[in-house]
Amino acid sequence: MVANAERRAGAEIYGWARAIYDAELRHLEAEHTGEFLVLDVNTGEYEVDAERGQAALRMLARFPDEDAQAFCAFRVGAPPSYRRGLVKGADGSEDTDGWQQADAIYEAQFRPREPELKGKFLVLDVNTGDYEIDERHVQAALRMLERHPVESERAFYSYRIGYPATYHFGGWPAWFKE
Amino acid sequence: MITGRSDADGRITINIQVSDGSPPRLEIAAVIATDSIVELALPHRLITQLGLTPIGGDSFAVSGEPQRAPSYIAYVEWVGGLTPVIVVETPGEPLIGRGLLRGSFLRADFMDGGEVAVYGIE
Repeated sequence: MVANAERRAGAEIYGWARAIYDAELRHLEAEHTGEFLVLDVNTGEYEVDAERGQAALRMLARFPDEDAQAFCAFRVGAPPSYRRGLVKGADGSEDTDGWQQADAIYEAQFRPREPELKGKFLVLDVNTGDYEIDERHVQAALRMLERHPVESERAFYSYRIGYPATYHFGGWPAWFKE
Repeated sequence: MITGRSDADGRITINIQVSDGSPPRLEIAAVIATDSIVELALPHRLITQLGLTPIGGDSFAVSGEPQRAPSYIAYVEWVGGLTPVIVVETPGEPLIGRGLLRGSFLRADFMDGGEVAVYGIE
């Protein structure tokens, strides 16, 4: 869904999405906080749905031309790019596919469990679906490294369950309440 | 006990021994940042020098703005002995956050050249 967006400058397009959201779409928070929003930054058109995937399907039906799409997907109330973005590998390459897979697994398996697991650290291997959860991030990571010792065969992604990022410097974003 | 110094601006810097789990250890001066829950943040230069084991993708918010970067495992000679910690890669100076301070007692004289000490809580 976001493939075309990623062909463009990823950070830039999410910046546009955030600007559109802040200027025009915050009214959605009154009735749709937590629901899935898909926004086309080229047109400002969007769809919202409580069920993951439905908003995207409607947007794809409305904008079938892939070259004209510039879609960003995120939850109402959580500005774009928190569960999407870029991470550079050791060779300077940008890992977007891995984060997309990790985010999809997080949304399906762990978002519903946030009330019981909030604050714990999750280390997830997108190659196998294997994961560890612990109150200490390093303990979850060490157990995963023990089970997956070969670096080239693992693809770990870390989350702090129920939080917008694993760590922060200088405070959490204003929209997030611990 | 870990020791360090405060400066005229009230910045607390302590010296820690960091390694990839085996000798040699590298002595690093790290600033204590109690507003962050990280354990240890290091610049890329030191992560490369230490040869730390990468965990994979991680995320952090800087003044509310999201960023993504790799994280690593390192071992720190801390108040309770050699302690494994998560290292996040940041462009700035080495930082120690509340994650590493958890379970310890921090004493600091907030004056230029003031003494700083970190003890384990019995």
